[in-house]
Amino acid sequence: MSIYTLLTMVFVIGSVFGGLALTLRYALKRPQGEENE
Amino acid sequence: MTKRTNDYFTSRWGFVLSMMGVAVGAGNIWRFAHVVAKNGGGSFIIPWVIFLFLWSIPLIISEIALGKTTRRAPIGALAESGGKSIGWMGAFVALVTTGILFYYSVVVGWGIRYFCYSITGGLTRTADYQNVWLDFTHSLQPLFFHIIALLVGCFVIHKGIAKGIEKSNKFLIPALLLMIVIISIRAVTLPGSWEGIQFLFTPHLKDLLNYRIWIEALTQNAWDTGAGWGLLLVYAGYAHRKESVTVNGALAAFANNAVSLLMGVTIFSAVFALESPQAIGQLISGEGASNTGLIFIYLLKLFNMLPGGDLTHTLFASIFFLAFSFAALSSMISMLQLTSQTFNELGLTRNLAILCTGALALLLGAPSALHMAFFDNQDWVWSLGLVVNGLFISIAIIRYGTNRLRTKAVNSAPHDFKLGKIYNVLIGVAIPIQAIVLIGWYFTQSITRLDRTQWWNPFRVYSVGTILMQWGIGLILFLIMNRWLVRKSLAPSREIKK
Repeated sequence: MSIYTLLTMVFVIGSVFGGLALTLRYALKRPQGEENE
Repeated sequence: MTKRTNDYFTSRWGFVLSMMGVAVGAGNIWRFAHVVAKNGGGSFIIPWVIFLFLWSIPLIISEIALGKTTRRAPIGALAESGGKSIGWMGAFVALVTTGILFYYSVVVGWGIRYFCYSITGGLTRTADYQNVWLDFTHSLQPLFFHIIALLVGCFVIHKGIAKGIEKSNKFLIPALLLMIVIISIRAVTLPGSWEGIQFLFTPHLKDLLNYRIWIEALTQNAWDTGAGWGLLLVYAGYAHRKESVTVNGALAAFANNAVSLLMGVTIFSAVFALESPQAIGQLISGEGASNTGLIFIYLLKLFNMLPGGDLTHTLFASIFFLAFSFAALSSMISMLQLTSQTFNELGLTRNLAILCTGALALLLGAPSALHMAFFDNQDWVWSLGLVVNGLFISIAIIRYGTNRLRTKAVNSAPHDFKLGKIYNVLIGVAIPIQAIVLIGWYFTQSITRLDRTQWWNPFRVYSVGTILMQWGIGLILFLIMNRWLVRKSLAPSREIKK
């Protein structure tokens, strides 16, 4: 595996799944039960 | 659709899953793999991720904010936010999404047909899935299933938002995600799958200098996430005022790009593990109908590799194509919703608007169901239209005030992630520059270098002429009708037309 393949993997997977993990963490930490009053 | 006072989403997760239902669909499962295959794998995927941050996420957040602020379909939303002189831009946004709807319903029909094949055991009696696909696409069956898909879609929107879409997505999206995780694990454990993963992640500098890769990457990311379609704008009109904008928007975008990646890894692992080098070469060069039907051929081969024989194959294929059909159907429903709501705001009663939308989609989608070249033409013309949609939405926001929208709508929900002034730069500068540079790059390259003799020909599948003709008809018509479109869309009486 070339270094370019490795760097692309880190960039793509890190950006997409890292972003998803961070956003989910933020979404689930928000206080519940305040919407739709 | 005009039940504005009581037809809201009933929970945060219901709204988020419905937005994912808009985004997770044929774009992730069918289109992503086939576009990656013909655009160089790793060379495509780098700009695809860049556009997630520079195009899709800012636009999705803006559409949700505009939808919550105006609670109107695209013509009314853009006219109310950017001024009455740009109502025609909103009409073009609706036209592009409607143009996609006309052939999207054909893809939904493919999914329904393959579900029927699977559940009746028809796919276990053969291993030549390429011929099954070719026979199917060269018959009248795609037209029949296109009609079925539209009938189901029109029925669901007729029943209303919270009852139909939210309930079905709560079950279907998790089911689809579970299926994708299971088959991706099987795919990456096949001998030879690593070659496919390397193809997906190995970039080539020469390809990165090709305009076509960048345009396809942007349009695919917009296809994946639903950015610039106007769909999230319509959906956000049904969200509660306290519903977050940034977190919900970013979550939907990241989640469905993650699904696309998983599907990409699954498909390319299977293709490289199960196919001859010659067939792989054909797929990568984008030749033949098998490229368009990638998932309908290789996922079935993958199901054959699961332990348990015919029973497992039938079970997996049935559940997968059922979930695919529903995911694509939920995206199609949101397109039907957008078009019929636009007609509704222009003065048609709700039922008549749904009927007109269904009839138009049936008639104008029929050529795509019957001819693959027509299908490819429509996919190219209206996908590229999403770039113009992004430009038009950003123009509306610039006229409204990017900072004003950010402070009054984007950052207004409690407990939401608060966006800084980077949002102003992305919407006010980055999106218009990306749209103008990419479309300008494509037009100049085609006219001066790649298609010098035939670029003007409107009857060629991928020519500049076909784009100018199809966009042009809409743009000229909407510019002439602008005053009428805006007056009708902003009229208060539309809210009681049922």
